[in-house]
Amino acid sequence: MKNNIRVERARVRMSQQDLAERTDVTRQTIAAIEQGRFNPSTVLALKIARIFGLSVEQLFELEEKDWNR
Amino acid sequence: MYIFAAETTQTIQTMKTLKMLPYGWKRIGRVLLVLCVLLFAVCFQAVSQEFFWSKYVADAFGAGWASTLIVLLFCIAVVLMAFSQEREEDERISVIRQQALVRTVILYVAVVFLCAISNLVLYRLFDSRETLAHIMIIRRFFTTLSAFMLYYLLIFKVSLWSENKKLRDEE
Repeated sequence: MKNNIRVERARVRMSQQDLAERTDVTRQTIAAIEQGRFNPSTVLALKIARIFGLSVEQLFELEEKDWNR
Repeated sequence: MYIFAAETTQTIQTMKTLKMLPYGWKRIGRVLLVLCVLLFAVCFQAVSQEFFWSKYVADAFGAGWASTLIVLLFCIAVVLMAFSQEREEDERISVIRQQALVRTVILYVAVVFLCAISNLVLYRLFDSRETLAHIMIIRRFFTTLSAFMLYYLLIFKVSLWSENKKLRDEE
């Protein structure tokens, strides 16, 4: 699953630590999500999307390989 | 409406992380583990090197209370360490924890299987019944619940360390 969190963070000039504090997770978790190493729960995805003022689908995008699991 | 809101909050909290002991219990577990190792070392040295107080330790081992105390301390320490939260616990760590538990079950089944078939090899390698008995006693530890907890702790710590290292390397 791809995501635009890094781009959105850069747009609003927010650090990983700031986003982590606002979503109540560790900075490593935000880094893992950005790198596609960890898929967040629905709750966390909704929280992140709300912080950037976007919908979840604007922030996260399914890839072709996600359909072939 | 109020009841619905309360239920929603409860659901979110449940989804966030697994219910575990607070981080402070992990420290108590560490202290107990150090105590257990020290007690074991003191008893082992005393029995093997004939100090003036060795007789008392040997008697305590003979009566069973020293060995029982060591085993109990070890069990409690490992359980406290395994079921306590990390300093910063979140859903990624919960996922790593669950994956570690699955890997531990696979490893444990493999260890039990290996221990079972090791009889075939051990009986051919060692003629002395005393040596065989010692090996059997040591081998039994690897299939106990305490050993399972120890495998779980090791696998979880290594997984967490390797995940965090990958994240640091890619930054």
